[in-house]
Parts: sequence; structure tokens; C-alpha cells
Amino acid sequence: MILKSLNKLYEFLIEIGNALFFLGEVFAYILTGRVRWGELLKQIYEQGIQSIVIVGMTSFACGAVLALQGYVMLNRFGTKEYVAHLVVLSLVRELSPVFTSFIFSGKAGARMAAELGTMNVNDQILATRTMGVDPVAYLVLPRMLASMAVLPVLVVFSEVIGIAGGYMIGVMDANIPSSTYIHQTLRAVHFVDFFSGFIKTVFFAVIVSWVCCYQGYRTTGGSLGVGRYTTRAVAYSYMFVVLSNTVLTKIILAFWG
Amino acid sequence: MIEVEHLSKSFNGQPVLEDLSFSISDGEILVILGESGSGKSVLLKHLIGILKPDQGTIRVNGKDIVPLPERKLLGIRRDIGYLFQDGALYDFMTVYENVAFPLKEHTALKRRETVEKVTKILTQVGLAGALAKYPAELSGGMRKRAALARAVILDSKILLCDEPTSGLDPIKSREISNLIHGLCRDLKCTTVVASHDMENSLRIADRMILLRKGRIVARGTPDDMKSSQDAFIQEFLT
Ligand SMILES: Nc1ncnc2c1ncn2[C@@H]1O[C@H](COP(=O)(O)OP(=O)(O)O)[C@@H](O)[C@H]1O
Ligand SMILES: [Mg+2]
Repeated sequence: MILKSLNKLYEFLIEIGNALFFLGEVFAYILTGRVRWGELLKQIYEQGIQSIVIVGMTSFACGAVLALQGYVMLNRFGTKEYVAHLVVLSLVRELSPVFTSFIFSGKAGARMAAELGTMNVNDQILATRTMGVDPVAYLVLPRMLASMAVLPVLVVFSEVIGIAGGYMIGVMDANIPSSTYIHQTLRAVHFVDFFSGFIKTVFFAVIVSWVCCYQGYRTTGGSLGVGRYTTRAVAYSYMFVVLSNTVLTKIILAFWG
Repeated sequence: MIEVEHLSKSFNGQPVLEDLSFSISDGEILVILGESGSGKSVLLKHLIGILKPDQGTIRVNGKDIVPLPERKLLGIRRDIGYLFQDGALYDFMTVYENVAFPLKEHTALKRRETVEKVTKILTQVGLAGALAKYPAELSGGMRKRAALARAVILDSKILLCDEPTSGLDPIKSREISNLIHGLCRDLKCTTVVASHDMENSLRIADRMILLRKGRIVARGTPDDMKSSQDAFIQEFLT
């Protein structure tokens, strides 16, 4: 019993080690500058296009709901103008980075894991090696770099759309004058708010693409395996995003309050 | 020239290859025959450095590839073509792009030269009409032809083929075997074919090795094989 759990722990540590080694390999390529621009642009296009509609919809609804709920509460204190603060700060500091990363891992991340996994079980990754090409440089690196470029853009997009959602409710439903709402929004966000959200986003981009590419890259066991490793990739991405968000929030608040 | 000496490999304590020694001279076609599970694919993967032996040496053109790190092996593999059992073509690329891929990666050919070279080899394997098709739109035989074209596009001096006829009907098997035979003679390629297809192997091989449970149980020319009295060989022949 104890032996069994020790064994499990051992396997888990090996796994973490392998995953870290994998990430190290990817970063070594980034540092040595051998990036395939054609592949990278293709991946950026695919990952961006794939998630943008659902991110937009989710963010708009999210901003609107924040405004609806915020209005009900703040109106009791006669401070309904602060709805703008509530909406923009929630979005920029927490909701946009986290929710966009969730959506991104469910779409682009699952896709990366499934693509790499399928290529693995069909020997395409092995074939890459037999042709004298490093599969990490050719298949993994462009995907990971693309995620690091696309996710931050999606998050900013999400923030803008979310603010628009809040604005719609604030102006049309809560009857806050349009100019007041805009003024309050601009006054509310300081650079650190935006910046802390941005730092989180960069972390999440690395985490999601790393987890998803790694799971895809080590997929075995045919089509069953592809399904298993892909769902695992998304589940792990969620988990690590949530966990690292807590840690990052704590650190960021400690520095900037 | 490929020389294998005392090659052994086991997975999880289960021996798969046991003390294999053989060599293949330049321009020769060697067929490794064996039932499925006898270790043919594992052996081929050793010859290109994808698997490392537990014991033994593998010399390719005089150089022991066993201790080489992956980075060095990538360079060596440019001169080796490998035909996977199911082709292993990139499914996000057309046939043309698949075959052009090694050229793009390893040569500085101009676009026009690439088009010429790819078109020529695809015509040679009988796929001139399928340039713009994706692998999923091809039959099994066509996929193998495209993969064969990709394997030799860099004028490889060594060609390794894993079960080129498996999953094909007798006529298609004969065609692809002839194609491999023709290409090898054309390119003066040192060729290793893993197969369980006795009939076509006997036709194209210069020499054969019969593998059983990871050991070499017979070797010789096709004629040697045919005239052998060994019960296992006879059983395999019929
Ligand atoms: N990566 C591996 N891990 C564990 N066992 C393997 C691995 N690859 C092959 N084997 C085992 O080695 C034996 C020979 O496999 P293989 O070379 O694929 O046979 P074949 O002659 O049909 O190509 C099989 O029993 C297979 O289960
Ligand atoms: Mg096999």
C-alpha cells in the first residue's frame, strides 16, 4: 500500500521532470533563435481565429452580468457610478485573463494536444525524426510561440469587449450617463491593474501551451490515447491556470496592493 | 554499407532482439523476413538510431551510430530514407508538400527546381495525378507510394522499408515491390526491407535474413532459401 503510493509519487516526479525537460528544450530553441516563421504565422492565425468569436461572446456576457449584479448592490448605497469601476477592475485584474485562458485551452489547447497526439500515434513525429528534422523545433515550438503571442491579444480583446458589455448595461439599464461611465472606467484602471493582468496572461500562455503540447507529444495508444491525452491536457491546463492564478495574485498584491 | 554486430534489445526485461550480426553491402537489397512480432520494426528503428540497443554496435558507412546523440543522428538521417508501414505522411500537407518537405528542409533548391524534382519522382511512382490530394484522400497503396517518394527524394544512399506490402492486395504488393526494386537499382541504394511477404521478397532480394523471436534462424540468397530443408523456412515459404 505504502509501496504503491511511493511508486505513484515516483512516477509523478519523473513525469514532472520530463515535462520540465521538454519545456527546457523548447526554450533552448527560442534562445538560439531557430524559429520557423512560416509555421509560426500559420499557427498564430489558426489559434487566433479559432477562439476569437467565443472569447468575444463570453466577455461581452461577462461584462454585462458584472454590471447587472454590481448595479443591484451599489445602487443600495447610492453609488451606482461605481459600476464602471467594478466591471473594469474585475475584468482586467482577474476575469479576462483567467476565463480567456480557459477558453483558449479548451479550443487551441485541445487542438494542439489532439493534433500532436494524432501525429504521434500515426508515426508522423517519428517520421519527422527520420527525415533529419527535430520535431520539437518543427511541430512544438511554433505552436507554443503562437500561443504566447495570441493569448495576450485575446485577453486585451476580451477586456475591451467586456467593458463594452458593462457599458451597455450601465448606460441603457442603469441609466448612468454615457460620458460618466466612460470617465469612470478610464479613471478606475491604473497601469498596474492592466500590467498585473498581463503578467498573468503571459504565464497562462506558457502553462496552457506547455501542458497541451507535452500531453500531445507523449500520446500513445491509438485513437483512444488521443482522446485520453487530449482531455487530460485540457483538465491539467485548467487546474494549473487556477492554481498559478492564486499564487500570482498573492505575489502581485504583495508588491502592488 | 551497414554492419550490425551482436545487437541485443529488450523491452521491460522481455528480449526482442538477441545477438544479431549481419551486414549489408553497398547497393544491395536485404530482406528481413519474419512473422509479425518477430522484431523487424524494432530492428529497422535501430538502424536509423531511433531506438538504442542494449548491447552491440551498428556501423553506417563505417561510423558507429549507437553512441551518437540525437542532434548528430538528425544529420546522418538526411542520407537515409525510411518508409513507415502506413506511410506516416503529414496529414496536414498535400502529397506534393509532403514529398517536397525534405527538400525544403535540407536543400537550397529554387522553387522551380523543387517542383521539377518532386514532379519527376511522383511520376516515377505513378502519382503524377495526385499531387494536390491530401493523404486522407488516398488509398493505402497510394499512400505508400507517396511515402516512398518522400523517402528517396534526397537521393538517399540508404533506404529502409517497413512492411511495404502489408495491407495491400497481391497485385498492388507486386507493384510496390517492383517499384522499390527499380528505385534502388536506379539510385544504387543500399536497401533493407522488413517483410512477411515471402513471394515478393524472394523476387526482389539479393540476400535474405529470416528472423524468429528476435533471432536469425536462416540467411542466404533467395535460391538458398528455396532449396533449404529447414522445416520453419519451408513452412514460411508455403
Ligand atoms: N516501444 C516498445 N516497447 C515495448 N515493447 C515493444 C516496443 N516496440 C516493440 N515492442 C515489442 O517488440 C516485439 C517486436 O515488435 P516489432 O518489431 O514491431 O515486430 P514486427 O516484426 O511485427 O515489426 C513485439 O512483441 C512488441 O510488442
Ligand atoms: Mg512491424
